[in-house]
Amino acid sequence: MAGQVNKIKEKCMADRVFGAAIIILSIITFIVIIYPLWFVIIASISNSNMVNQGKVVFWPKDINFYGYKQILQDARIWKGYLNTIFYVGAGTALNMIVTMPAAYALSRPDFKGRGKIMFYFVFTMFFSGGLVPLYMTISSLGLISTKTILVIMVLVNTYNLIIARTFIESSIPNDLYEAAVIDGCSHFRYFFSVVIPLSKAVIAVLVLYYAVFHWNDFFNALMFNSNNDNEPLQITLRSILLLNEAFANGTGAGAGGYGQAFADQVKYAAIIVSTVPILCVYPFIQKYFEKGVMIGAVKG
Amino acid sequence: MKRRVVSIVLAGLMVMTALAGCGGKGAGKVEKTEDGKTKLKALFVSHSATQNIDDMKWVQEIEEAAGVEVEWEQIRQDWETVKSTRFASGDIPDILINATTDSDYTKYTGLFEDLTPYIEKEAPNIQEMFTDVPDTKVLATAGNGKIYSVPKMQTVWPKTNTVLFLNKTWLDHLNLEVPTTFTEFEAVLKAFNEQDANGNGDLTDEVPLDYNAYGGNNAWFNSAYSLLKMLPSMGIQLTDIETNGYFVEDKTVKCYAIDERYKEFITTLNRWYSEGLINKNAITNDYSAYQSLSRGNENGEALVGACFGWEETDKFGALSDQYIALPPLTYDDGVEAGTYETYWNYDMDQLNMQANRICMSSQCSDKDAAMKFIDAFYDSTTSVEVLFGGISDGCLEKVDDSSFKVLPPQDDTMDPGTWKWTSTFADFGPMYIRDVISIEMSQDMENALNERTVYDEALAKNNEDIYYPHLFMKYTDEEQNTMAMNQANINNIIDNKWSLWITGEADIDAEWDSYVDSVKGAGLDEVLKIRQGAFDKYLGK
Amino acid sequence: MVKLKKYLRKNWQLWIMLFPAMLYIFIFCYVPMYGIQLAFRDYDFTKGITGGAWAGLKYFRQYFDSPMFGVTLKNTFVIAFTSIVVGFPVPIILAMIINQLRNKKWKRVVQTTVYIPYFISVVVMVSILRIMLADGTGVLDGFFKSLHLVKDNVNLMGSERAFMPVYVLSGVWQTMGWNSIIFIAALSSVDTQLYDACKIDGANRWQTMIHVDFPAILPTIMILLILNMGNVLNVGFDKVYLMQNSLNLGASQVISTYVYTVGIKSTQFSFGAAVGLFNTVINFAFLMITNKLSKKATGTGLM
Repeated sequence: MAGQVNKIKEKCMADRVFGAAIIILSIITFIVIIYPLWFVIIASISNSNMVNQGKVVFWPKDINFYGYKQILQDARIWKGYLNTIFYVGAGTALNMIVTMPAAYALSRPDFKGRGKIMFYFVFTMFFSGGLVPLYMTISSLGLISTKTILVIMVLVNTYNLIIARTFIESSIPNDLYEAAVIDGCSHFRYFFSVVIPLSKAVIAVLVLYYAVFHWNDFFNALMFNSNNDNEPLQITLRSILLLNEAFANGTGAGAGGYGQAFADQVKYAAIIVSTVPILCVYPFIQKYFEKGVMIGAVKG
Repeated sequence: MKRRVVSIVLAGLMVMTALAGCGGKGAGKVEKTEDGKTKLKALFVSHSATQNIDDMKWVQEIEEAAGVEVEWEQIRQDWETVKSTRFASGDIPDILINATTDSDYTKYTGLFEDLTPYIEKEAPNIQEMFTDVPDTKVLATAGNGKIYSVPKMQTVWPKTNTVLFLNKTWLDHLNLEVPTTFTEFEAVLKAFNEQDANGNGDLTDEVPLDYNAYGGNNAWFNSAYSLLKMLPSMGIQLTDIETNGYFVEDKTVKCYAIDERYKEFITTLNRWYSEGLINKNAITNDYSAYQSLSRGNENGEALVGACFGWEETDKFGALSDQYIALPPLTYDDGVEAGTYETYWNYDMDQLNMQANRICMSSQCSDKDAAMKFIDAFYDSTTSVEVLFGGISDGCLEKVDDSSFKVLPPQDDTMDPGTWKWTSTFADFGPMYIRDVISIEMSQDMENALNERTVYDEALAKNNEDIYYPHLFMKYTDEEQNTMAMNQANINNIIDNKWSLWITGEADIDAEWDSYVDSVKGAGLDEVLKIRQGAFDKYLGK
Repeated sequence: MVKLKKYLRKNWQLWIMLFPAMLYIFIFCYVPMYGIQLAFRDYDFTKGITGGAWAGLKYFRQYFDSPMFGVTLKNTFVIAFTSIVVGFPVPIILAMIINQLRNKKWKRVVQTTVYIPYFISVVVMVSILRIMLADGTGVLDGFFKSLHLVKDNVNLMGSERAFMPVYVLSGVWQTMGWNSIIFIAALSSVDTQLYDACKIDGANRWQTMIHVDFPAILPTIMILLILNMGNVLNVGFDKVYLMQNSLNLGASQVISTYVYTVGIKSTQFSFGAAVGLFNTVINFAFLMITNKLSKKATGTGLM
């Protein structure tokens, strides 16, 4: 009896130390992360010359909203937002429709040939024909400078496919499948009524990954679109950023006079303008990471 | 069986994509609008600040006059990234402005049209430019004798890009004279460093000498604001901003990065650095940090003694009154003054005459109409509009046939420079500004021209023996490739060593000989041979 | 024939589920794959990508014989490999820490902040580094120097020795939160019954973490490790290029920046393709080897 009490005491002690360590570590991480973020915020409203000279450390200096003004008064930015939201919405939906069934199929241990199919996907993570043939392929499909290509570019990302497959394989018990088969359940039904509800956490992750990819996608829009009406936000922001890059190599004044003191604000403000909306997505996704959300769903 | 099914499916897909491919382009038929104008597609690589071309009235006017209707594609960013893919895929519009370089015509053979016959037929303005300024024709002509693109002639821009500014207020405050030699300059910098030049009680906040050489692409040799812009004081004439380390002496192309004078120069800089005269952070500062420092601190006190720039208000903002342009210094460090001829950076061609302003696709369906439109840019009045903005846009006033006045920005938060880049094609456009035309320009341009009078004497010394016109050199595709490979290897050595020597992390005296050998080993001789060949061809014209 | 019928009857649904993904990959990845031969051909615009004269290994040799081969290969490998070694465990630890936080509000705050740095663009990231590490005026520079972690005369942004640590640590800082998301998700699906069982056994929190949490996310860890090993010669161009300067060139010239420098004056399609292919083959080999090893050791593998 006494031994048991001792053991419990020991355990309490160990847990307390552990808990304290966890909290301390989380606080340190938080500070290390938060300071540079704070810096971006204050740099976006401070005099850029002071920022560049290292004089803005904890509080903004010579506060001015030139950066935000310049970004938000550009008429193109709103069109950029709308386009991006469309690409994120439509693109992510298609991504999920294509990725999840494929991931399920590849997760079936009794599916013969899945190793080879996996190779078929993984190979393309590494080997590619280069930009020119890709451009020509897209061009021959008539998709250059269309909204379509910006939605379906990277319709399935092999990396995400693998993550989804691994999750399904390792966290959905195979007994469920066997029980379902005995009930005469087809792959389709099993996928929709068991796998999907049980994979909410990984679905949330993939939605986040794909949405953020579409949100940040700059390169595909740059390469495969030259129609200004289809410009996503990142392209618009980039051209506003360049606007303030004075001419480092000759032929004179870019943003002279008044501009220079606040030119670099745009650099920091662009991050805030482009990040805040996508950050709002996360809390919705986060709730699927709560423990035990899905286990009940099956057992019930 | 399974394999057969798969292969049938795959074959089907192949056919599908192939068929889709046929539906695409197809040259030949001229597209016309209802009122009989030729439809053209054009691409312009603009500054990112430039407004939509459709909003420029002067462009509408020349389209109208040339009888064409142009669908514009405006590239505001990263054309360098997109270009090779677009060109290699053959996907280009009828006319391209500011989108090509010399090597594109040799790399993408047949993509661009030889304009020679069309210029004779449809382009009186361009012909006029070629006759008045024969150099423009030389510039336009590719190595194989064909003309794939038309250059511009801007005429009114200065002869040098870079000004060395010195803080006159500091000089006066410390009772110093304007220096004329390197030794005197060093003494001034020392005084800036040791005393309280800006008079705020802080002895340490003055940066005596600042420069910009940050970033890839061999910035030390190619930046317009690198310390190397003082090298012409040692009898080495630098031309056209991006030198990559090459210059000409006695009509021979040489690399100054392995010249004894360069060694001497770096040794001097090393001493200055160790004395605290050169900004330590300059090597890692980017251009905007470089600009920021020269704008002074939060109390409006100047922080920089001497540095390089384009124009005083652009460089120093509110502090511009404190600075003067410093005449070229005579080199006298360890040698008799006058040992070396004193030159200054000669950038006339780079600033006024760039090649490849405008070219035409060989797939263009109505080349005569396209040429007419191209020629319209080179009209006497239009050329001024290309540079400063349209008359009907309210950017420019025509006083009489040969004199113009640039109007102040309509947006009063903008400086004239930004306004110009916003409202028109500016320096990126095709144009021929005639010699007889006089233009009353904005304050910043007038400043830029006035400041540079201190260089007139040195610039006048430029002559055929020492002048290396980078722009005019024509290379074959293979030569381009060889040079690119070798230069990358050479840069990796020369772009690394200068900073180690200046900061004293490596000893130049101990390393010099092996340095020279390794630069030669990286393929310098081959590059020099190719360059000399192209230069000789140019001299023969 | 009978076998095939049986196979199809059992698996046709799976094939249908795979079809859209495989079709997309076929059109957008396999169809353009003919471009790979560019690495073995001279580029000739008039004849197209596949029409240039056969050059064999000419462009590979050009790279292997270049004085830059050894340097760029070494720098790339060192940077990428260190990034994996340092950067891979951090998100896992971070996920476990977040998973262990008991205070719900604090947990949420930490979880929502740690991944934000991922959105900071490379340009701004490098600007921040430059401002904070500036010799004499930077906040971090002063901090490190007052702790004597860094010698007084070292300019952290312009030092060959400091380049790799600065690059890797700033990268870890930027991506650890983002990369921990997948582990947080995996941890959330651990069967709660296992925790109860542990409690009954009298295990403390540390032991529970080691014996329940860790094994539960091990398959995910292994898969991501394998995928990461396929990046062993991957160093993103942008950040290195922006951080590169004359002083650190000895450590910062990597394969991607070298190819860029070569191509800056005239586009070198074949050379670029050859170097890219070389890179890819090495990466792919590393991935396959790790995959084999992992399969043997833990039973988890990609294929």
